[in-house]
Amino acid sequence: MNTEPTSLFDLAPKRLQWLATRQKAVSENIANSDVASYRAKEVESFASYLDKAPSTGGLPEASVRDAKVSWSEDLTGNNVVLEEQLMEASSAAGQFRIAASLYRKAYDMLHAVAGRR
Amino acid sequence: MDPLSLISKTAASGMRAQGERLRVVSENVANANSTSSKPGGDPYQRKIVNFENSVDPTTGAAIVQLGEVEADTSNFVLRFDPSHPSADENGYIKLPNVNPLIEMSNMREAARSYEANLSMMENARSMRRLLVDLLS
Repeated sequence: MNTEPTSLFDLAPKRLQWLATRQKAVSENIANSDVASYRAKEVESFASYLDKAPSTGGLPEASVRDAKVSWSEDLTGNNVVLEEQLMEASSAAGQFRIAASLYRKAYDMLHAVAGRR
Repeated sequence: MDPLSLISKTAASGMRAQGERLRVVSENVANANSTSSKPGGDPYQRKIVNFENSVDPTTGAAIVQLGEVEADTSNFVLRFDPSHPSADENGYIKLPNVNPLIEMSNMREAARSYEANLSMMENARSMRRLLVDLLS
């Protein structure tokens, strides 16, 4: 039996949760873009989040750390670059859209098999 | 609270902080020529804003807020104008240490940061709409 749709139901919520946390980190960076000596934040990689998240039960929040790379840094030591953050935000939003429509597709597949009632 | 709601909180606090910064800039620009009312006195002193990050106690969202508004202690501009009512005994008046060019670039920067926060808010909203659409 093909178990792909069920694994998609497991994977998609994790992906959505991870992307939402990633977007939250970007939003904090942008809000703090003028705070002296603020360091940009980013979330852990999706792979390490998957290792942490249990396959059943609630979704944990992805952990946030200081960003490893940044385009530049100002005199106070603040390394938030608005352009970089907005790029990150639109990339996260696009991937969120992909994950949401994949979830939808998985649901539609189940629906096609189960038939309409 | 879910991350998408926290984004709105964070972005809103950022927009508010930038708005406050814009207010201080406008105070500086409005007083760019405010001299002292008494002879030899100090004129208007330029104000500087400070941002600081904190945590919203009810939601736990990381927010940004305006710290103390400080006075710019750089030197005042001296101009020789003996007929001016606030001129000192040597005929010099002190003009505020406000540089309109700096204030304008500050204003542009505040507006740009405001826009960035606004686009984050829209971003979070469209993400939430995608989730709600899954229900239909």
